[in-house]
Amino acid sequence: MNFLSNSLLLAQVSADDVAREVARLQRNYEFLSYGLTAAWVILVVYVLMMVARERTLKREIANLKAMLEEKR
Amino acid sequence: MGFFRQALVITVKDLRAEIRTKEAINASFAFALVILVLFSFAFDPLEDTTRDISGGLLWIVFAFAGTLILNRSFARELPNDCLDALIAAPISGAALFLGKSVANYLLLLAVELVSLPVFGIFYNVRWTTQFWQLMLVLVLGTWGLTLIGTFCSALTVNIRLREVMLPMLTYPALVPVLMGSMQLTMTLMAGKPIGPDMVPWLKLLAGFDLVFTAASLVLVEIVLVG
Amino acid sequence: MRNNILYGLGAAVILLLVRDINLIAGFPQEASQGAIFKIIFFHVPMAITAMLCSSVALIASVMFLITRNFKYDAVAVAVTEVGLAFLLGNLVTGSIWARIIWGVWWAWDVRLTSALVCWLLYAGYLMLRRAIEEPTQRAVFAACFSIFAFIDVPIVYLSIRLFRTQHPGPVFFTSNGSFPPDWTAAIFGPLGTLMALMMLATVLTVIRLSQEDSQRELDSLRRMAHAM
Repeated sequence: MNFLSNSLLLAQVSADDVAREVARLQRNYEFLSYGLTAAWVILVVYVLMMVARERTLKREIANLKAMLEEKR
Repeated sequence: MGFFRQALVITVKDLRAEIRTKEAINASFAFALVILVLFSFAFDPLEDTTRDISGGLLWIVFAFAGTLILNRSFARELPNDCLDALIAAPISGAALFLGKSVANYLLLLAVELVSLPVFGIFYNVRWTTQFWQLMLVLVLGTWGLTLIGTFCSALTVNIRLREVMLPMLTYPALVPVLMGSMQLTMTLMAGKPIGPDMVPWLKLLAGFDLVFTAASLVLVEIVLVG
Repeated sequence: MRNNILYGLGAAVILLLVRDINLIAGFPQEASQGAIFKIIFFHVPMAITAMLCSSVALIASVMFLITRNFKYDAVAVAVTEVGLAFLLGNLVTGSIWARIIWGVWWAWDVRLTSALVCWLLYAGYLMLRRAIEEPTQRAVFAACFSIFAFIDVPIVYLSIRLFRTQHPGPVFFTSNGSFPPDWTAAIFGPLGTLMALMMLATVLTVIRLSQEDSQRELDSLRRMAHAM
């Protein structure tokens, strides 16, 4: 019985429908990956900005210290 | 002198200074005119759809023109260290702030009242049909606008790039006021009175005014005196 | 010592995230929305973390005004900046989600718009700080503006809700429970994404705080150099 109704249902589905459904799923996954990538990229960029700031801070402090030493 | 007398003295002083020089009010009104003209290129001014959004345009004009007045409000006291003198005067920072806010408020209301007829002519809007309700919206919306603006003007007074920072700080904070005023004004400009569906907006405007009047009167002492 | 704790926390965050992503990948797809729905596992925790950050910023600002201890000022900046990064993540993931579900990148609905206004306000906070030179004045003004911004956000939310809404309401913890419990656990559980992101936010804030210390050291060195 179940098999019969399933095959009846299948008979109504055209190849176009299947293709459309596959495309929809594909797009869904594609956008999910975009979303997750975007989220992580933002955080990683923020961390990189922090690292860059850390580096400039350290360098400037070292420079200034060296300069002060020299003058002293 | 009571608190309100002190505020009144500041208001009168500011208004007198402004009426003698007319620098901020002239600039502000001229600017409002320019924006009104510029908007007519962006939207076809004689079409009905433009009339539907005209309330929104009007408040954008007011917000832009308002910043010119607000920018000057505290900056005017900078030469000759007048601001330090005012802070050293035997009045509270809150009274000083309130006085300045009221002065800005009256000036901005004046600019708005002059711009309204011009706007009506340019955009073929019959703004007088709901005159008193429109005045109510104007009074409430403008108070919110000047309050936030004056507070941020105090925050930005001795900053380089003051003219840039003030709008950056005020406009996002003003979203509720501008939105409420735009919604109400659009209805009124269409000739409809404020119905029960629009009352929440009025409440929102009044609530915003109250909350921020209280908050800024408390905080401004810290800002001015440190 | 402090650095070691930080590295430990950072490693724990990465482990947690790997675990969560594995777990989430194993979940079946949501019936009506499909795979894209899984973005919720990061979208929502990011928003909550950002909200927490702004609350901490408020507390730190108030504490600074009361005690005038610059430690609190440093906390306020650090936490605001980290919160902004998380809120940006929330906005971008939300926008991508909206593109699939609503067909537009940006729907002007309540939460989206108020999140954006919130972002602009706190970005204004950072710009204000950058514009003021004098440290005490910078801290005081910034603290006042932070308090202002925090008061403003709920009103913005209210005002935009009056407008109209398209954003789905909260699906967690409701009685009809359309959200399965193990999915809820993947977000709110002790090992969920919310925990991981909050830990990440903490790590970032602490790093940012130490930078603020270095900045102060740099400033004092500069002053010394000027004096000589």
